Amino acid sequence: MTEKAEIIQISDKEYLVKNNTVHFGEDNIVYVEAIGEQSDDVAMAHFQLSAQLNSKTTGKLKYLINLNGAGKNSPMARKMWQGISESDITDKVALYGIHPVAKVLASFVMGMTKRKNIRFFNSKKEATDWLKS
Amino acid sequence: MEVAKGNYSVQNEVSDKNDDLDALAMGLNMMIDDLRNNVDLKLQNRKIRKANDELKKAKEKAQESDRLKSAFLANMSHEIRSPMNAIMGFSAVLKKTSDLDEKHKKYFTYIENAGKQLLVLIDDIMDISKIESNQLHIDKKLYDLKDLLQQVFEIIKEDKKLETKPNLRLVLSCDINKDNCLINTDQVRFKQIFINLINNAIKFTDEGFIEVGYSLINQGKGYIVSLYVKDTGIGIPHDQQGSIFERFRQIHADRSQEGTGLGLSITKGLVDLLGGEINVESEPGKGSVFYINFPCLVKHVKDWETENKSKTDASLILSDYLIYIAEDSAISYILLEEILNPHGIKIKHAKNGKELIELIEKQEPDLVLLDIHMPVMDGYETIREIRKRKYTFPVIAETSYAMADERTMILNSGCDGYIAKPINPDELILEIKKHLGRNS
Repeated sequence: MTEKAEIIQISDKEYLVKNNTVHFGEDNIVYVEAIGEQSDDVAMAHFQLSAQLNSKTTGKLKYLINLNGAGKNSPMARKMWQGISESDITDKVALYGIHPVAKVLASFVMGMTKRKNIRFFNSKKEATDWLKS
Repeated sequence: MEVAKGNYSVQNEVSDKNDDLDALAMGLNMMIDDLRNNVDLKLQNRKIRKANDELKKAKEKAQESDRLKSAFLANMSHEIRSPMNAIMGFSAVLKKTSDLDEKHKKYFTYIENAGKQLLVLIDDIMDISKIESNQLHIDKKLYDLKDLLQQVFEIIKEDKKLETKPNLRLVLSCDINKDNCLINTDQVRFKQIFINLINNAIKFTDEGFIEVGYSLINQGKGYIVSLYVKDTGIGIPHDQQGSIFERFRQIHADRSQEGTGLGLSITKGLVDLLGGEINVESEPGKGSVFYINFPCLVKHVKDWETENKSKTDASLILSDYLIYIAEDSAISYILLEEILNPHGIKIKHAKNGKELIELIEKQEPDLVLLDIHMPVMDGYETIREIRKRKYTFPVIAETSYAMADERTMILNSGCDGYIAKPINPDELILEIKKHLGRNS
């Protein structure tokens, strides 16, 4: 069992979910820097945070997820991310990372859904451009 | 290798290089996690399936036990009521014979009263068992409340318990011309509630009055009828008022009174089943008031009365009629013969349904008295056969299964009336006259 992950608000637009930092910026982009193992509880906390962020805006959320520092995703965490990407309050999910591990992590998450609104990119710029397109 | 053996706790080492080897190790680790997850899921499913199977078996066992209980209750009722039919029926017949002296008539009265007490006891035990196992069938229809209360008063007066207390008056306090109100209820169970409460009041009140009445409360969305049974009896101690509806609770156990201690518990169970509520106010030494609230409809009942009430022609001469009796028990048949013969009715006897059908084929009767529990062809099969052959004469079922659900089954099967054993001679004659009068 993993330790329960709490959502800690560190500034007006910044949050901490265990080791992950979350920044809610312009164009409804939710930037997530994933650090270390992504357990069930971390994913659940992100799920709850998405609802909170949605209540602060009128449009749908766009996720920009940096996998460069991310570790293993638990099976349940992947299902949670599938839920976030398929949710009505989510527009797109862009995953990015420069190394092969990030690509493998992304492929496991993307393999959970048939939706076209989740994609992997090698750089933050490419990912951001796709989100804004 | 470990994974192939089923050990899903192993993981490959992942370095900080984040190169292809790390990617492969990470992918394999997540696949191992997925395999473990699947195995855990299968184990959980197996446990759930097992728990479901056990629940299913427990449910089937409980249903079977329910069925056995019902069958036991029905059999008990039948087995006890059959001999009681002979005891009480013949006592009533013998009491009416003219060559008996007063002493012997008194002895027959004792037998009759003891029989009645025994029947009340049987009915109480049956009722409480059925209430507690949710097996009491409720057959609700619209009735005029005043009519029901008047019928209750008739029954209480016939019972003659009041005659032993000359200083006690029974008062029905409702204006016949006002407050017409219809109540959607099971008339048998409704009457049982008030008979229980009034008998209880008679038991604990030596002088003064017992008043039964009601008032209507307009709740905006509809009406509530608040009925009451008030007495000037010995009352109930304050500390015991909360427990009087519990089973086997006899507040005045020291007072030499009959009863099982089930009456008020049954009454509360019946009130609950009919969708009402009951409570009590009492002052020791002054008396008690039981309040019973039911939802009701308020309207003029004249039209409804005309449609629903059946008339009994008491003056009907029975000697012109031919009645067939289908009854396998010789004793029960002799009793019926004894009840019907003084009225000059022509009778023919069939020992089972098959014999009855043969008799009917030869000559159609004016009415049939049909026992339900018979060999060869039972009452249900017989009535189906009679109605299938398009015969429309009235059929009155007589049975020892005096359970409410069976009464409904009998009436639904095509019978026109129903009389429970032990047969009360006067009730039987009235029932016969009612159906013959309707057909004539």
